[in-house]
This record gives sequence, structure tokens and C-alpha cells, in this order.
Amino acid sequence: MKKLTYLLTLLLCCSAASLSAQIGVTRHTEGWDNIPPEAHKRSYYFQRSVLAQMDDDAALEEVMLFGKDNGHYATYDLFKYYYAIVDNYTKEVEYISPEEYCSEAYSLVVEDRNNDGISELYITYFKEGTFSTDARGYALRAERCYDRIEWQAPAQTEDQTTKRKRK
Amino acid sequence: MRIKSIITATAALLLLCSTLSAQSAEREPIKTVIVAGADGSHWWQGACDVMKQILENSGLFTVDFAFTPGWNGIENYDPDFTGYDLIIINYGGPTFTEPVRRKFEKFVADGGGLVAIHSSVVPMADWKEYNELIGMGAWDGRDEKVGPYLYWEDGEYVYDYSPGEAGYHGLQHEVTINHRAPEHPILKGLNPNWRHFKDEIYTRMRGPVKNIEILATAYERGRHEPLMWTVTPESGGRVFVDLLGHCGSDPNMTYSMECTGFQVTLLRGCEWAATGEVTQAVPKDFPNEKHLSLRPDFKAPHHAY
Repeated sequence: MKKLTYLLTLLLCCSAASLSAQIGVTRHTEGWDNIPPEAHKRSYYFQRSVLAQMDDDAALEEVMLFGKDNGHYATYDLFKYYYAIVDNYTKEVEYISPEEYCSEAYSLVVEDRNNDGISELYITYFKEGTFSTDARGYALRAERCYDRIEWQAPAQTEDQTTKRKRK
Repeated sequence: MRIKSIITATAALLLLCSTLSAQSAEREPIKTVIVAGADGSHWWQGACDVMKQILENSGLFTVDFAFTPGWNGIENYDPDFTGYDLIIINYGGPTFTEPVRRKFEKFVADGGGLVAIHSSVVPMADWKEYNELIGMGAWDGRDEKVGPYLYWEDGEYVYDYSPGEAGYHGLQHEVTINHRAPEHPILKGLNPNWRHFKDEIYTRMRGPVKNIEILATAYERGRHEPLMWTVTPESGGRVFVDLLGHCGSDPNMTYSMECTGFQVTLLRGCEWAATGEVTQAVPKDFPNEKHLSLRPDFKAPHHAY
């Protein structure tokens, strides 16, 4: 009888441990967020991302664009946005754009234009985030900047004026 | 000869009087009051000014405002609906006090017209009778407990009782409006499919959906979502709900109301709600499936009729 009680107690303990582990794993899975909190600025929302080779490390990076509405007009919308580059394996944030940009569309262009096997991040935006419209919200006027290099791996940086260092 | 002349003159005078009297009766304006005063996401002042222009420029309506004190002080709000034929509600604020709610319900039950614009389907979810008057609503805690989602599919109404919150909208955009009750007085004679200018398109409406007739839908995220409908409450009165007409506060803009389709259906919906009929002719500048039409001055152009 004593032996039976011991066995039942052991079985109960094992079951409880197993259940606890399952709950633990479930909670971990449910709580997992693909977006590292430190990449996410308040009042901005994740919009889109691309996976790309952004440095000489074998693991890919995820280039994330976070944005929000910046005004709705009759014939266009305006958005504010910034970028983050996150190691896709470790989820370590490697870079956050120091500025917030403004334009009529979210711009996420990641290309290896110099064919060195490592992609660059290009941005399109209104210069200094400024624009104007007429009284009815038509006739958008802004000085646009196209395809400036927002980020490229430090080792391959060619133009110091466009270089952004890793954090 | 003299007697004959007197008789002829009298007859002419009577005819003239009766003609003038008939014209005067036809031209009696629909007395309208716009209820507004608080809305967290919309430029309600601009929307009210624009609707007043649209209605009064038609020559069919006179418009007054009955604005609430704002977000605070709703307990002091006591509008007088006496003498009005029509209430337009363009409101997104706190629930009215019980005396005002009863006054509002009585106005409609006594045969008054009610027109609810855009975000007026959002507030006052805790007011059961209001939910029944507007038929369907969104956000403000509305979910499966208030009633089913309602949408249009293959010529039939679909009542979807699945659980979930009411209300969704994405970025504003142009949309094609499809009439589902083309013989209804509000829509009769208008192009049944037309392009609506950029607007914030509300979808996933749900509510008691009693005595409701879907007038028009738009295809959004896989469903033909109702954007205009009527409610004819058993207690009396007529209600026209129009989800179009977003006026943004980011920044203050009223471009959605520049759409000729919005203005014409608003005018016709208001006349129907107030009188039960629509006497307005079909305008020549009404949009069609391929072409937008705008009335930026909020009045019909000279070539419209």
C-alpha cells in the first residue's frame, strides 16, 4: 500500500511538472513577438519588412518599416516613418534610423546595387519633412529626395556623408 | 359684357391665387436641425457647415444647429426639436441624458425624419433605442451582444452572428457604390453604380437590424458592405443612415463631401426621411461607374438640371 501511494504521488508530481512545462512553452510561444520592443517607437506601427543580407554575417537581417498617418488629403495621404534593422535570428536590433521621414507613400527599398553580396537600404522622402498644400488640401508641394542611402554595412561604406553607424 | 369681364377677371385672379398657393406649398422648406458637438476623430464643425450649405443651396431646406457643450457638460444639453421636420445627427460624443433621449425618440416616433451621418453610428452604444433607430453601429463596445453583422451577398441579406467587435476601416480611398434598392425613392433614377470620391469606408457594422433596408453597398475586404440604409421603426418616423461623409481632423478637410454622389443622396435621403417622398429631379452631373463628379461649392452647377 505504501509503495502504491509512493508511486501515485510520483506519477502526480511528474504529471504536474509536465503540465507546467507545457503551459510554460505555450506562454512563451504566445508571448513571442517578432518585433523587438526596442525597435518599436511609441505611436508608430509596424507596416512591412523585407529579409535581406545587410552585413557580412551569414544570418539574414529583417529591415522593418514603422509608420503612422501624417495627414489625409483629397488626392493623397501622407505618412511618417522610420526604419529598423533586426538580426533575424537573434532579434538583436542592429540599427534604427535616427530621423523620421515624411512622404506620400511608405518607401522600403533594399537592393544590392553595387553587387557585393550585401544590400543597402534606400529611402525616398520630403526634404526636412516639409510640404504645403492649398486651402482645400490639393496641390501638394514638397522637395523630394529620392533613393538616398539610409544604411549600408560599415565595412562597405563608400560615401561618408550618407553613412549611418551601427548602434 | 361688363359682367362677363368681371367673371373672367375673378376667375383669372382665383387661378393665379391657387397657383401661387400651390407653389408656396411646394416651396415650404423642410425645417432641419443638425445635432453635433463632439467627435474625437472628425472635424464635425466643418462637416456641419458643409451640410448646411448643401441643404440650403438646394432651396429645399432651412438648417439650424443644436450643438452639445462638447465632451463635458452633456447633462446641460437640452435641445428643442419642436417645429422641426428633420434631425440630422453628426455626433460622436457622450450619450445624451435620459430626458433628451426620450425627446429624440419621441421626435422620430411622432413622424419626424432622422438622418445619421458617418461617425454617428459610433457613439451611444449604451442607448438601446438609438441602436434600433440606426439599425447598425460600430465600435464603442459593440459586439455580438448587439446583434449580427449584416452584409449583402448574391442578392440576399446575410446575417452573420459570429462573435466579434463591430467596426473596421482602413485608409481612405475612392470606392464604387452599388445600389441594392434602385427603386427606393432616394435612389430611383440615379446611376446604380457610381464612383464615390475618397472617403473613410466603415465596414463590419452590426446591430439589432430591425426594419432595415439596405440601399447601397461597396465591396470591401471580401464583402458587399452596407454604406447606406433606411430604418422604418414600427413606432413611426423614417431613418436614413449614410456612412459616407468623413470629414477629417488630421488635418481639417471636407473633401469626401465634395462628391456629387454624396451630396445628391444626402439631399434625397433628407427629403425622404422628412416627408416620405423625393421630389428632386435626377441631376445630369451624377457620377457613374467610370467617372467621379465633384461639387466643390456644395451646390448644383447650372447644367445639373
